[in-house]
Amino acid sequence: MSKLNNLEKILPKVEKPARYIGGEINAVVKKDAEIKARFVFAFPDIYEIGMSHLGMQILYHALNAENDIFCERVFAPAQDMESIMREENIPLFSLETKTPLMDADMIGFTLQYELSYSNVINMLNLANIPLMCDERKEAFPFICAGGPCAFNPEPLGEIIDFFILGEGETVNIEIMKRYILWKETGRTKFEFLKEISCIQGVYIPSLYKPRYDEHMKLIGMDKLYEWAPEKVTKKIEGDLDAAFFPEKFIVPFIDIVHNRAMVEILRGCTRGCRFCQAGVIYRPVRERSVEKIEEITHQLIKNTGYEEMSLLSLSTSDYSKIEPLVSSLMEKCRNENISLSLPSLRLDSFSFKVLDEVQSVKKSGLTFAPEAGTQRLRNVINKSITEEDIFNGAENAFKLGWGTIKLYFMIGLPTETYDDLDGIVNIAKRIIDIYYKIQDKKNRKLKITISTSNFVPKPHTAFQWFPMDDMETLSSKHQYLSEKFKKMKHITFNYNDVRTSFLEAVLARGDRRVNEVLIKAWKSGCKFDGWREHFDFDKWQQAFNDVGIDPGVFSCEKWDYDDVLPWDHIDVGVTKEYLISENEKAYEETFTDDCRNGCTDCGVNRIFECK
Amino acid sequence: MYKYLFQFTKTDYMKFISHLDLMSTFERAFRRADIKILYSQGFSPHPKLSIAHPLSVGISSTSEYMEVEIEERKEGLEILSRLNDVLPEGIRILNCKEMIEKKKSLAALVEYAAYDISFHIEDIEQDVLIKTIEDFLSEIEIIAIKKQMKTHTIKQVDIRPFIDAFELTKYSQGVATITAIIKTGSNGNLNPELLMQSFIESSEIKIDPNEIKIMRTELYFVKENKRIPFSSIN
Ligand code: SF4
Repeated sequence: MSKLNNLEKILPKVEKPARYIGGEINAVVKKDAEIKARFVFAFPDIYEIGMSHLGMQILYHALNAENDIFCERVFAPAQDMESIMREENIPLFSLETKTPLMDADMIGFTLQYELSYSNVINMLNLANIPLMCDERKEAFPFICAGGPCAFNPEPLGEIIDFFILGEGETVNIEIMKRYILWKETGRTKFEFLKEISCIQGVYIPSLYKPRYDEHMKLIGMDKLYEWAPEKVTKKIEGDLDAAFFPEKFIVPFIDIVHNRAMVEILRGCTRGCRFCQAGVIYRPVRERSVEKIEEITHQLIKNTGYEEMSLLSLSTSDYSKIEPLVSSLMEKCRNENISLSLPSLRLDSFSFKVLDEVQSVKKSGLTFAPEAGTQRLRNVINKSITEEDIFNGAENAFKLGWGTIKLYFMIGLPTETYDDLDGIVNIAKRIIDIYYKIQDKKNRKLKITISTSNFVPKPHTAFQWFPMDDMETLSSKHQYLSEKFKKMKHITFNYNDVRTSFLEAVLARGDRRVNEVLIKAWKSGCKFDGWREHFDFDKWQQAFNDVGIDPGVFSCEKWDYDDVLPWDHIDVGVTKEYLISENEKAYEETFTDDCRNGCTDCGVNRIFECK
Repeated sequence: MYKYLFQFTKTDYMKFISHLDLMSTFERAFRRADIKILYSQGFSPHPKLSIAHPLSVGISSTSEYMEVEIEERKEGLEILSRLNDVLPEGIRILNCKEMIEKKKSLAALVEYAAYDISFHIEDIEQDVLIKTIEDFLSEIEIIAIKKQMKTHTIKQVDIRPFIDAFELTKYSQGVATITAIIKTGSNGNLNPELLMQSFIESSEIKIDPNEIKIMRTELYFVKENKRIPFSSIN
């Protein structure tokens, strides 16, 4: 059945063997004779997570739409599979043709979260590919990476040959086309890198060398070649209607995290929350037209057979024609007997009218993301939701008979005090009061989930200079809230592991020295760091010790405006001056309005057109 | 409402798809083929599609059966070809016919299943293998150890009454195929892997359980004390 003859023998021994078999509906298989280059899209987490990622579906089909390019997939094998693969000497292989990754021309990792970096390394190793760029001689495939985390590429800068900053739909194809030409002329790998260095969005770390002072503080990035670009500017798609969107999705056999067809209706967000990286890197906002969305929906339903359809964006309600769009899609879905889900919808009167008809919401309940417990702190982070919005929303929902509410908050935000934590408790109390006023005693089934995450400063945001809380401070805050919520009925309180967030911060703001730590940590057994059962913080600390780096410098230290940031040579469009002014406004607790109501001069329009 | 009986294969990599995943694979395939199937009423409607007897993950089949209720009447051949156009490799509809008579559900009909079980063996004469099989069958009781998934306990069962046939049907180049017909369904069920485990334990032949390939070839119901293959259902 495959080029790996012992695969069939080991599959019966592993959990969910369908993770490794490929052959799903709409998966693409091309013959060797038809193609000129082979790309493997690598997702550094398990199948169920990677397959839920819309970006993978888009980029996979975009590349495969080119006749002479073949894009295959690979995911991180789960523990049981990895052990057997290592025992039986089975190298990491692509799902489509079960070809060892080593035989690909290019392997592209998507970096969706920092905690998957150790998996990138582990996957390269499972593929028998040397980890460091300079160990990979001419015969090895090129290793590239993209996704939001690529906007601070430095922590993987010695492992990844080149990064793609921004949106990959067209730039991936351009790179592959150049690759095919390069391959035909038989020049060195370096010459290929030189050639693509002029493509917008391509960053090649080996063309730059970080400079440190005597305390190992980063003080500059030196170009090693005259022709290397001073700064690398991100690449984005212009018009979303013209951008590639697949008419079919790969439909998995097994249940995955988001098992449904999805249409992206809007890219980017104009609200300007100061902690949010997505809001910066996807600027400016672009919309897909209602007609185009309808057309895509039609095709997707027909080609996937999915029983559920979902709209995707950072903020569904910000879509300018949301009412006509939702009405038309609801009708279409009703006719086809499939359900429509509308995530990240703001709760105005229109939404309630719609949501009441959408089954899935009744089951899973309402969600709000105030992110902070007081209006003061919400001004600091520039989150525009008010308490009125939440309470009105809750009241409307309870009147419709729903009883499940989920609220998201961040802990450890800049300037946070215990008053702000009390604010979270007060919001929960008020919601309970509202519920009690509406529902009579007999049918009280209220369930409130307070889900908190730990604030982690992200590159290219207004808070990029700000430290995260140290681990003790965060833990006491969790403790404090736990105690309060323990005494309250109807509430489930969730929080994230502080050590995991600490590592996330280090990897998010790290510089090139982190590469060595990553390799050390991986050697001592670190992988799947985002999975509680695998995460081993002691090993990470050991790795930092061995390399002689204080991780706190990256996570818990406040940086100055004139410090050189590890990502200063990356241009996301939004200027540093704007981020500084936003950071200042945060301290002044001043709100910056949504830029749809008037340009606030973030600088992205220097390079891209804002509509 | 029109009820159809489907016969289909589940081979190659598709043997690694679980029963539940196979159901959703079919549900989506019907939608892709633009054939509307019926759903149960209620809060979470499920499709009126049922498979005669679940196949364990790792076992292939040349002959599975399911019944599906469809909104509009169509030619069996048309449904068959429309589905085959949109099914993954390894799942093929072999037959599709409308069931006119009202019958018990397919699941309730199942009494026996036939399997081809093949494995590698070395240095054993065919006669010896046949003799070993005969010895195995001649035992009055064959006690197998069954792990109870739910209670995590171990139960001893006599599987001899569940074995209707167990014979060597092919032996060449070190690969032996045993054809077994065993009790299947709600009136007594023997799983072919347990059968092979007992056989390996009772005989002294070395067979690597990981190398055994099992293929279901037919399901049977019983009428007037006769075993009748599902393929003859009208
Ligand atoms: S340039 Fe102005 S309109 Fe464009 S994204 Fe920035 S703030 Fe908004």
